[in-house]
Amino acid sequence: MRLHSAPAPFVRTETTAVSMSRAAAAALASLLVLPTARYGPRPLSMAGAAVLTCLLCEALVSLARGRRPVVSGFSSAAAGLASALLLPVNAPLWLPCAAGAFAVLAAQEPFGGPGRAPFQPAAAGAAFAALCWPALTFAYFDPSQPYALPALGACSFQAARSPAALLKDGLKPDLLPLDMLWGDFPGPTGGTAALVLGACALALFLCRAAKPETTVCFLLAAAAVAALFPRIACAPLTSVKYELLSGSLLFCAVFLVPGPAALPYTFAGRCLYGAFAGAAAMAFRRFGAFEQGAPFAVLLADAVSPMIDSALFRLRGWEARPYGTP
Amino acid sequence: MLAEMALAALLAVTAENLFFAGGAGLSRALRSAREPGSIGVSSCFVAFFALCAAFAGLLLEPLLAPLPQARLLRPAALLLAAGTAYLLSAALLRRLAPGFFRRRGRLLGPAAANTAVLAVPYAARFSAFGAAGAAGFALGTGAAFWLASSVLFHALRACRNPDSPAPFAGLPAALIYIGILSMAFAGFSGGKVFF
Amino acid sequence: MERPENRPLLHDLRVVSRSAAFYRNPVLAGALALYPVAAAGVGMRNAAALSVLFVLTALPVQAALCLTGMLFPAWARPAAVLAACAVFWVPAALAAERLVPGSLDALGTAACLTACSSALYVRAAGYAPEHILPAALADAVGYSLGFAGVLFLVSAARQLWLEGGPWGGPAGGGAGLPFAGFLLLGFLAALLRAIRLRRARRAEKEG
Repeated sequence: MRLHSAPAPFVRTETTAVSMSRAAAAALASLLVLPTARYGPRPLSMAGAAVLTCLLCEALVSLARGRRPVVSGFSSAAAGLASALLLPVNAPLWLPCAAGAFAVLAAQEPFGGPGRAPFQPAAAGAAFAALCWPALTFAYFDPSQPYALPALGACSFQAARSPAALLKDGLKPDLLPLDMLWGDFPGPTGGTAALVLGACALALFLCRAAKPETTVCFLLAAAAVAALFPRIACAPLTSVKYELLSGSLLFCAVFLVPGPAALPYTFAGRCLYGAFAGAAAMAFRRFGAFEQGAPFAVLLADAVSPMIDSALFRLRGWEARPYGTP
Repeated sequence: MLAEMALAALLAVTAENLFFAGGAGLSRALRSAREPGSIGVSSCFVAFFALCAAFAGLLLEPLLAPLPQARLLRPAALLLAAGTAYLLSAALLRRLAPGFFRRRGRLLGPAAANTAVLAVPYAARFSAFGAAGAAGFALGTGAAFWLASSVLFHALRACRNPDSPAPFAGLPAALIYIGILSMAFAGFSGGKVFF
Repeated sequence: MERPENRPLLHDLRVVSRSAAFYRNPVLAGALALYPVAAAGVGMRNAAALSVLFVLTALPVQAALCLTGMLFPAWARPAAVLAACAVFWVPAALAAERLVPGSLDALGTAACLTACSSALYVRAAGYAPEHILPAALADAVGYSLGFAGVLFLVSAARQLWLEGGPWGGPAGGGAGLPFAGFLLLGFLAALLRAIRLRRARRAEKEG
């Protein structure tokens, strides 16, 4: 048997990091089609600005380390796209750039670059934008109104309340759950088109760029909490539909939760991780300060992921308890 | 009463987590994370001293509140109470379990002087907890310390990976890790835990 | 006036202070006293008040433990440290309130919790009792200056961030939260580590 030494990063799956991030970037880019068709070139300029910022940040870090300014695969592009798609399409252009820059400079590069970050960079970027500029991050325009969003300049519009905001206040959204499948309601740019997100999920699972068990457990846990503890007076199934289709929950389930670098090694670990993240996302929605909590839940789950691994390894007797490991 | 205790304990671990949401006591948690064998014992000590601090706060408050310089005397009184609690517990352990005290006694002092422990009476006062709530919050703080140390133990391994830039390896990356995790807890509170 | 026979001692004391302030900075290298910087280090007024509070508590506590620390058994020293902090915090708080009026209210709990800062505890319980008084005071001066320096830097950066930066950008409300303090501390610690690595490489080349 020959021993082949592979270069880092040592992701926990059989495909390469480059192919996985390429698939993720392609899936994220496909989410731009519907918003661009509806609202004009603004979603493209937002995504482009965020991606350019992330690539520039990565190149600058390479220069600062005394290396050639190379860009490693599509990871930073995926982080930039995800940062832009988690924000409203009417957000100022600097906001996805700020979120993307934070994702790369604070959540990715200090830990060694793509594939080594203990946190999902896009989730960190989205949380950063929500904490620093909540008024801009959760201000959505009403897509039913005849606005023409400028491609580059500032948008002036009358803000509409998203279904997630209404649910947080204990109010039932005006939309029927079925109408929410097409994404024509106030919400994050890439978080509203449920059918497209479902197709992206399928594509990522089929090309093994994401682990289906994590996403499925995330959604099952979120659905269980929505059914058992509805925030509005309605049937459990209606509550599940509204909760899953509003906000960025579905987007996070497909793109952020199955991020390969922070996932546990085992199947059972990934299921536990997904379930924890789903329950945490619903807890953030109910008790948190913001209408959307999925990015925060992903950060929490990423922190708990090594503990899940450690506990399962000991339970299975795969390794003796290392000296003093909690 | 049990429900109040349980709710306060849950708050201490989640929305009002003194370590990640408040920023208190992380120096000790980082040190504890570097000695993983001591995390359990340190957490028990933190819970014990947090309980002592919580009850000291409840007992001293009626005496301090009428005084004009209460806000100056309160920290001093709580520190003296912490010192007394430490002295009594150290003396007791030395007498009753000298072997244990020889091995783990050095963890007692830092637990008594932990910023998070001394923040418990303030948090309990801010949230208007009764005795049960204060006790629950104190026990929850011990659990939160265990969680913080355990998370940081694994985080320190991630922060020492050979691919990270040399200036960031170790403590700098750990501080950034704490900052990002603090963001997650801020998603609960939306702002500072108490002030 | 500096006498020739005092020069080695003064030199050593300067080295102790400089080392405690910079290369062994309590916050950036020792991960001590993180709470006041992260939770309350926003704005110059807060930084000034916290620095005064810290210095005026650290110096007498360190001196007291240096002079009396060996009178207590080692296991009882933590109680002595806590008692000393309790005693000396009150006049320090009065001085901070006199120098920066309204600071105690503005700082809230952070002012109270500075009394039991980990930096104070570690140096007073470990270093002070086993060193001579000038060394203990030099160490206290050093780490107080180090703490104050980091505090002012972080506070200024967060104030600027809150106001939207020098270019008049949008105000970032999150700068007042602890996470911003920790992130800034992380990058400052990396800067200090980079300076130390460069010094070490230069010393290696010359040596």
